[in-house]
Amino acid sequence: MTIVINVNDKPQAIEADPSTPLLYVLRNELALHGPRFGCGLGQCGACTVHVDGRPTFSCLLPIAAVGERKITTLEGLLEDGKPNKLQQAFIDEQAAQCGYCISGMVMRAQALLRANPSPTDGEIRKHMRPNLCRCGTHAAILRAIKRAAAGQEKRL
Amino acid sequence: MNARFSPSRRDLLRGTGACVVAFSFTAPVVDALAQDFPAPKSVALDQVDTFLAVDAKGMVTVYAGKVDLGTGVRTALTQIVAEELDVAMANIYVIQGDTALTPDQGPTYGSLSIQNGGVQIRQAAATARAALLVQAAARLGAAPDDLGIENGAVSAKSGGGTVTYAELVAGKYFDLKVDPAAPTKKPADYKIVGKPIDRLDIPGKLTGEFTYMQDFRVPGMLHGRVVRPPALGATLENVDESSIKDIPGIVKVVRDGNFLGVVAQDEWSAVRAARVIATTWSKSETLPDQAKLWEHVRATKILKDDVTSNIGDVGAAIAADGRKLSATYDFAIHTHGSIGPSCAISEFKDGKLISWSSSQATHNLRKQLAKMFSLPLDDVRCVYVDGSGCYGRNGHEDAAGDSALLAKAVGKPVRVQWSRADEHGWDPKGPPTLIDLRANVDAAGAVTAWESEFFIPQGAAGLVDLVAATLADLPADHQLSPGGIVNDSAIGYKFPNIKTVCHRLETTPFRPAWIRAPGRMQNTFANECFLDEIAAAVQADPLEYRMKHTDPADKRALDVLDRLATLAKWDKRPSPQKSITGNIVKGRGCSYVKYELVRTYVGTVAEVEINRATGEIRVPKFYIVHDCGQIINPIGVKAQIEGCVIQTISRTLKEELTFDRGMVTSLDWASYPILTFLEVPELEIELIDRPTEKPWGAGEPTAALVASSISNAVFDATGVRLRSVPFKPDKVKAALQSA
Amino acid sequence: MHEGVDRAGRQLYPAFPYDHFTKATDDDIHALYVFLMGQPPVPNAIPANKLEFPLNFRPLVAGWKILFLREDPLPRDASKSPEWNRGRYLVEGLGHCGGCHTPRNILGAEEKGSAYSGGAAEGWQAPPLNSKSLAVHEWTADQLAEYLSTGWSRWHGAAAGPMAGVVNDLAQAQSKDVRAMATYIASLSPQSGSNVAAPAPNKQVPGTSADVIAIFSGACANCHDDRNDVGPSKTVSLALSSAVRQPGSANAVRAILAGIQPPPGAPGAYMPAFADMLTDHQIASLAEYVRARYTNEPQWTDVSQQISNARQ
Repeated sequence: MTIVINVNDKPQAIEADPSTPLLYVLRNELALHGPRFGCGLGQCGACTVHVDGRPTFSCLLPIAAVGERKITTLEGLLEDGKPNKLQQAFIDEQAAQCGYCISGMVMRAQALLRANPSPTDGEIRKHMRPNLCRCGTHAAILRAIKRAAAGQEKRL
Repeated sequence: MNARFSPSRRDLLRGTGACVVAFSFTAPVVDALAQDFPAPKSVALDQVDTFLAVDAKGMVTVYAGKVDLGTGVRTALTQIVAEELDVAMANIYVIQGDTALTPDQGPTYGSLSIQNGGVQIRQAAATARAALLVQAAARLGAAPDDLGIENGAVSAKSGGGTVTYAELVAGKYFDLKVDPAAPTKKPADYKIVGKPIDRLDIPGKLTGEFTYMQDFRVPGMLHGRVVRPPALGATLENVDESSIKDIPGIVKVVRDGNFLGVVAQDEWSAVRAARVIATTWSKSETLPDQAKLWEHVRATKILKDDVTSNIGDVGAAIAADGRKLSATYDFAIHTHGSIGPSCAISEFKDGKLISWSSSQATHNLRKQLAKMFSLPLDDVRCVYVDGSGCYGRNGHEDAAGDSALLAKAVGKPVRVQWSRADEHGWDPKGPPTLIDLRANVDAAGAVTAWESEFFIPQGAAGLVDLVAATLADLPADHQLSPGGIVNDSAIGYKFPNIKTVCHRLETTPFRPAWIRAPGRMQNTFANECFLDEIAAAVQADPLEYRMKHTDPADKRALDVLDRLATLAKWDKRPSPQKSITGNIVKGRGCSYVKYELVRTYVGTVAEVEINRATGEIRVPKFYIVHDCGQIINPIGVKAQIEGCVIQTISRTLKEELTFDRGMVTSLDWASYPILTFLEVPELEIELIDRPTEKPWGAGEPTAALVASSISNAVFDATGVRLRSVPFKPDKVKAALQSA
Repeated sequence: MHEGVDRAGRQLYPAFPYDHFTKATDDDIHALYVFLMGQPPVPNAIPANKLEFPLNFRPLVAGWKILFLREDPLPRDASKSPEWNRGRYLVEGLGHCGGCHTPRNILGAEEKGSAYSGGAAEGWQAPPLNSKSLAVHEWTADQLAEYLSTGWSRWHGAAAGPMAGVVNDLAQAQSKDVRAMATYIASLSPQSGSNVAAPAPNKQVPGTSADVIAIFSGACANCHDDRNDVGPSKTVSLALSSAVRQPGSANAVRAILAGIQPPPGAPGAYMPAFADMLTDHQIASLAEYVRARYTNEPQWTDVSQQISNARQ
């Protein structure tokens, strides 16, 4: 069955079972590797994408439920193929160890910065809480988000 | 020229443009390499060609047996080679963990990638450089001393001509033995090593272009999922295949003994099928009662004793007059908890097996797969593709075994992705550790005897049986390999009489393997807390007490402790602090180790806040002073230290495997919670860089100190000692109440 | 606490449940006082009430009390165990469980004669604890003790909404007191050992749209998987779920929208929040599908209303 979904501003015709969670469609049918499989239970955030701009677990969103809503993945944040301000802040802060959780972190943080361009440390931590990192990169991720918020140019 | 490698493989790397593809981290790198099965090669560790190649364009390929697990090692190795060969980093590419191409430098564990692997590669590069200079001198008619190298081009400083590595090597091998005496670059001349160079792989990880094992695809591959027994040791009695008849694209249900897997055309079908397939298993209860775990450990049969230190005469000294202290410490069973569950792809072609996974030890995995399928070693190839962090021997190898078994059954490449329950339930575990300590302290407050006993499973860091082999009853080595867990049972402090004994237990509840700082973490926890108990008993400042009993000749040790006191603005006084009132109390605690008594020096201080009503511990601040000798990349070392601290605070405060009599019950993040953003401390790190010293490991040592720094800080805050990891609120409350 | 008056002698509104607290002993009230007075003071401006006439006329409460406040202490029931008596004291007194679990009359007082027949709190339904219970498996004292101290029972589900706060606090209480409460509450229902018949698993629900079935399969079935008694994250079978069995859909709807959290920082049951993932229409269809598939009870008629209430 064909379902059309809007991903990174492009309509995509997907041939897949309608119960297929969006995550698998993004990764397999569309070869978008930003969102990742971490648990399939909505507990870790590695699969986080934006649905109409809101951070959402794509592992639990069947494509039958997407409808007209717009999906954005990590790839969709790129500006002219280059990292956007937040992605660049992560690179500048070297905020990744294994990096597996990072796409989810960026998607989650991007939503915060759009709604609140100058969040406090406490607001950032609370907002990021649903996303897990096992390597212990949290401190660097917080630095990266603050760097993007502050719009700093040089490395802290 | 000795063609040690088959021409087809070499050509693949140099001539066909696959090399250019390989330079981009962001492309699915190994496509070109993947489908070829090269002739066997020897990868002797004393040959330059084992580690390095220079192609016709002057591109340098590094063959590393050590792999980048998210640690930045790939970048660090690139820095080392760039420095020794004076080649730009952009012209160097590291191939890692491919048993057909890279040497066996030992598994990537033990914080040895730079210390051993990097040093080997450095020496090979230094040998190559010296040989290239000799050739260049002849070519240019100049003296070797007169030559300078810039990005792989050699010229005489006094002028006249340039010759490039590409021209010198001219498509040949070095055919050189690694010369241990070949001069390496002087640290004073370093331009790349020791510098905060950005990691090569990070940009791709931020744009979505980086290819993880979970993203890797092989043409024609099918999707597999495993269906594990509901309890350890349960036998598969019945499978009703009709229960999945409504799921499209099912290729095969694979049953082999107690191994069960489903293979499908698309991934979601495989997931659903594994979820709904109707099975019947026998009942099986092979685990001890979790509530009586420590009685079980203590009662487990001891196969032998490893006496890891025996100084003076502890028997007499411990019995002599003095103040006697004793304590028992325990450390729970932990799981690796990799954020990306294990994934592997295997393919049988003409009876040969190729398996891609994120194994930290592909040469070992290769032996295991060869044994499992009764294949000659040369017919098995294991290729490393970056996965999510593993922190030790997690499920990566097991996923490889699963995918190989399924690939064999269906005759096509099969990708297996473990579920979260597979990962939490079936990866090997850090075994439970029980430790008794005793000391005798004289009237002057000096330790006259220190005696400790460690109850830990037998075995070292060897092969860990593959789950698929066990379930399908296929050949395996059947050994327990918990890791080098006797390490750091001995202590570095100077006491006149010390005896440390490890009782090696015949069994342990789950399949054990190493998790970050295995043994070293548990043992150092007990040692550094017990030392603190003694310091408190004699009313000594704990940091000063450590300095006092460190070998005065060990200047680096004393330097670390000294700087720690400054960095943490250490308040010099005995513990506990004097103001134990109100609900919230604060304290500070320190610990120190010279890792394994022979290498990296670390000192840490934890600041904690305890809520005495709820038993909750907060760690708002953590200080670390770290001396690992020559630092290759300070960003990399800092990242490892931060990771060590944050991950281990999680293990210390929250983590504990739960299980019933049959199986693990903590099968997801809700039942095995880890640290979240709300609980991450502020970290202050001081790196001591000693470029003229050996480069030692940084991936683990700091982790070994976290639990004791926190326990010591809790004691400072409350006067109560926490001796059992994890320090969960109900344990803390119970300890506070019984004080 | 006993009489429902403040220190100036003014009437207190029974939103402060002194109709229950009146049963507490003087010793317990004194202990509470000592504890509260030992907490560090904080500056706090008490907001003014926003009540409409005539409710804003405090002296009217005196009339309410004449009708509904019984200040006499609970007499011991010698025919029951000390544990039962202790449980009754806690449940009827400080625990004030009836404050949510008993329906209220038009004057806002608990309906005499309907004690524990079910009530409401903060938009959620507090299920019946007496013979009117709709559970498939009767709540035994053991199940209640487990549920009250951990917030989860494999036979009924996880504590959510205001009850989550209750069980988080009860986790800190002495287990013998929790046990006593469980014993008393269990005694409110017949304990006949008989269970309600649950529908067959995989019951077909004719007329369900393919979309809803697909959404259930992709979003819910990974955890709510009929194969297992208990699914991942301590998922309880929907056929047993207390929320699914209530006469109104409030609890099920709220669980789908907001999910269920483990106790802070500790292991426990978890359900993701679907509020941002699924539309109201999708959630409504799912809720009705689950009700039809997993119970033999009449279909809910209030689903859209409950979703809209919860979204406020």
